[in-house]
Amino acid sequence: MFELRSWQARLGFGCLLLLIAFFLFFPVYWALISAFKGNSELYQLNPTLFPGEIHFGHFITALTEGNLLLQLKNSLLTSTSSALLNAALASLAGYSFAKFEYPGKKSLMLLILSAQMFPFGVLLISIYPMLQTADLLDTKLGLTISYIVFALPVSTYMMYSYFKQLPNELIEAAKVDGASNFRIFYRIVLPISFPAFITVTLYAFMWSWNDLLYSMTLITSETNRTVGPGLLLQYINENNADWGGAMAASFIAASPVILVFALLQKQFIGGVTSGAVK
Amino acid sequence: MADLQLKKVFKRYGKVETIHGVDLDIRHGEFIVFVGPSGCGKSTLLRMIAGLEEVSEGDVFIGGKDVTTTQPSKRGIAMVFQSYALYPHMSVKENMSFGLEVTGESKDVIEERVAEAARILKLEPLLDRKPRQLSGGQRQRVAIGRTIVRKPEVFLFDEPLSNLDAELRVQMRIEISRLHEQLGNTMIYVTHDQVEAMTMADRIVVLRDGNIEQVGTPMELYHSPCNQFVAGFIGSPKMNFLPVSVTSVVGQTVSVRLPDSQEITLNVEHGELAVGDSMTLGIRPEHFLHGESADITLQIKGDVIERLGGTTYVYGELDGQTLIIEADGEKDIVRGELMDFSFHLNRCHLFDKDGIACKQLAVEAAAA
Ligand SMILES: Nc1ncnc2c1ncn2[C@@H]1O[C@H](COP(=O)(O)OP(=O)(O)OP(=O)(O)O)[C@@H](O)[C@H]1O
Ligand SMILES: [Mg+2]
Repeated sequence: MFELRSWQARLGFGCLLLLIAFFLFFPVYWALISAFKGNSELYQLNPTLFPGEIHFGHFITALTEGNLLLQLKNSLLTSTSSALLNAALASLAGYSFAKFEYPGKKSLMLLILSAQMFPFGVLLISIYPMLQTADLLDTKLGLTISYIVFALPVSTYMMYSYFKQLPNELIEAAKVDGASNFRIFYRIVLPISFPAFITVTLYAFMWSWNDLLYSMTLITSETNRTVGPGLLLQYINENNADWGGAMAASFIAASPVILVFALLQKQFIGGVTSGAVK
Repeated sequence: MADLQLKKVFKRYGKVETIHGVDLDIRHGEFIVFVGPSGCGKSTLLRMIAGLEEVSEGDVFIGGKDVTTTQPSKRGIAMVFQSYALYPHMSVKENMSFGLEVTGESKDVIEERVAEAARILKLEPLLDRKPRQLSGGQRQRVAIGRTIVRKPEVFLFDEPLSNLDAELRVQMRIEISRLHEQLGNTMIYVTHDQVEAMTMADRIVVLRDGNIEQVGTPMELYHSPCNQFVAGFIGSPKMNFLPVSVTSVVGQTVSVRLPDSQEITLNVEHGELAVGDSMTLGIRPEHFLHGESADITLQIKGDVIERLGGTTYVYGELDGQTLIIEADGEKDIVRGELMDFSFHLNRCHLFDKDGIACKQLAVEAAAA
């Protein structure tokens, strides 16, 4: 880390951070108070910075009208399964790239990474007919698979970089101990790489949770709809825009993500390898 | 019985050859040390024995069985790595039992072996700790413990002490020697520290650039190094080398002139040798005697005097050649003064222009 010598520099830096924080958090704040404002206050000409009175009406309608809970369940299911499957596949692929030698390894890696060069909208054009052929359109499984398609290349690369810096001697020691490659992977390599595994899982989870394009295109039935398109279709459409309801529902929808992050945040911090070598 | 043979073993990385056909015979229960400068192929050779590195050509036998293509775990070996390579997420106990679990030993056997290893290595109070909660020396002991529980035929060590401080290194050195005594297994130990080699080995294997230079007991290597490289590598401080030129050759009697124009005559085995050839005379620092008491006396001015207490090192010059002399610490030695140091002819080593040792024959016959 760099060091800030003078108090002027420190003050300036602090102000800069405050400014950035303001730009990041003001919209969140605005959404939050909008959710708690009554409709009359919400749509008045001079917006208020603090809600005049706390109003829970939007939350009640969000939970009772429409399919928010079903959509939440669908989102949770597709996001969690795609995140876990993605992390499992990415670890196996990344481990193979990092610690095994075989012909064609470099080209294979390049190929996988180059999948990332296409914008995800373009990938959709080829995913759609494939899912159609497999009869997976408008299914949660189809959506889960397409999320993995998108998240896998970067995840593989992230796992690869992490595995790459694991000392070979650790793996060799396990080999001398008689462990098979697969046992070495799940008993030694994966537990040590838990922070990377969690990071990759969260990355895929976030991406699928926040997705709009894939779920809008691939899911057409109300029973399979996830929360993103659900919010959009219910609250903001050609007929009306119910901002208060949209904000309240958004907060309910965001709470699982916030919860997941709060729970796993500690795992981001590495340091698990310390003590392995030297 | 775990004797071990290497037969014409080569290692190549693509076109680059790093081990050039090594032959080696190790008897059961021997403590063998591979020693040599960095990059000479010690680790490569050890890893080929372990099965962690493919053998490009040649064969490896352990206990009479050809194991050249056998899995590391099926060779009856265990290895201690330089970095310890402890599993960081497992406790000391789990680290030691992992290998036994893998091979499907029963819980009772695992408990018993781990307890025994912990007792031998004094690890009992640390069994539930994680590696990061251990000191360097303790980690080293766990790494050794992990090998002991598997009861291997052959122990392999790759510079296991190089991450420890000097004091701990001496302590662990003694512990490993004691362990060898206790277990009686074959041990192969890699180091670039010649003191470790001298103190621990039954036999030392000196390597250079992927070749074995000499194999022998520590004292054999000390007294009759086969070439100038081994002579310089074994012993501390290093052997002194003086350029000399041949003044006469009569059969096996060779006379050479020292840098200070003195002539000495030795009875040696030698190859092609002619008057005027340049050779090298080697004398160990500890073989100099203060005063004129021995066969040949050199007058040396001490530029630097290092007093260690019991001994004193004198760094001096003889006609432009730097010499190190180990003198008695009690002797009165003054910097910058011309002093007499002498040596016995039977203590000298003569090397021809290719650095090959010309072995001295009979001591009596050498008198000029
Ligand atoms: N994967 C590799 N590809 C090419 N050359 C290699 C490879 N691994 C090792 N070498 C070379 O083989 C030689 C022997 O290496 P090795 O590690 O056995 O040396 P060492 O005697 O153990 O040295 P040190 O004391 O530094 O550990 C070195 O010259 C090294 O550069
Ligand atoms: Mg080495």
